[in-house]
Amino acid sequence: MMADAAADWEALLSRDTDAARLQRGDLDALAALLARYQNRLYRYLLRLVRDPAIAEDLFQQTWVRVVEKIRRYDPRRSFEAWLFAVARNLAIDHLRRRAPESLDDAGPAGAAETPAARVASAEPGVLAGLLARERAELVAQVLAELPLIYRETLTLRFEEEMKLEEIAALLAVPLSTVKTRLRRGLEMMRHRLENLAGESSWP
Amino acid sequence: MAVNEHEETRARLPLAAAGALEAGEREQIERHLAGCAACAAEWERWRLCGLLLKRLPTPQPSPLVVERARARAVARLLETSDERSTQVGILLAVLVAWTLTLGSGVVVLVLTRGIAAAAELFTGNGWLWVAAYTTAGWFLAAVASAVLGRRYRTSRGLA
Repeated sequence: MMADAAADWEALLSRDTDAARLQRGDLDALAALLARYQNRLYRYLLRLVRDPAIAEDLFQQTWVRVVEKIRRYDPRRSFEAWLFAVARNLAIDHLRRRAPESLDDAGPAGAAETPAARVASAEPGVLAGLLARERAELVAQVLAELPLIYRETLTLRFEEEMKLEEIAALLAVPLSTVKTRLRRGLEMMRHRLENLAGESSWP
Repeated sequence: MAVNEHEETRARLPLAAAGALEAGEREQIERHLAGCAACAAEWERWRLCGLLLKRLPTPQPSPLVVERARARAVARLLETSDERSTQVGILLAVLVAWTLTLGSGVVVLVLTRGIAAAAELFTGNGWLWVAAYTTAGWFLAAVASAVLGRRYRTSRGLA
């Protein structure tokens, strides 16, 4: 337990140190932060915009914006939260330009490549792997079809494993709103999954 | 078991699956589920729904995209660092220019009107002469800075 806590603290310190080093213009710190956050950041952007090509472009823009604004970053705050806020602002700007009338529009279903199709399943065994991949594709598809406010909250909570308070700060909404979005988002997910997969595939 | 208790429990199950309940609410639900098979089955579905989200594979950016992001960020970082050092250089040059302006004012006064006139700076109305001289110097320095800055911005394609 103590060793875990020490390791967590060390990891936290390392993250902060890298951000502080980047503030001093250290290129190695940039490489370290990029390596640490690349998958999570790309996943978050992909969940928001649903198009891999746009997510990749925003991914690059985010890191350019990070080095432009790193001097304004307060090291007392979490770098992760700051990084995601930078990425979110860029993604929201993009979505506003694309569909200024409504950010909550679900958009064309399946227009983007299914994220699950781009990675191999982590489940062991061929059949288990196939089953897991089929299910993951279905879940990813259903998640992508949810309105932005719900799919964003769900991915931040379940995939990024952010605390509710962190999500509320990132989205600039009250904690109660985060809970409401989580509940409604999960209800939509379950309803659509059951419709697609059928009751029989559920326990 | 009261109908309300079933309804209250079921309404909280999605948030329970999201780990978004307070400790007291969680204990209340756990007590109810221990004695209610129907709600326990419902809970299992919500739990699975959350689990499916948690187990979604993490999509990864291609190595080429990551490398491009790094290269663009490095280029921007060097560019901003260059701009910053140029700004510091300009600031230092302006400070030196002002210092020289003030110093040369006294030197010019001594050379043209003698030491006695320079001494009047502290006793008589000589400060008026220095103020006029300094203002003219600052004005010229400002014009020069504006011209140099404009040329710099044009040469870097910033204008």
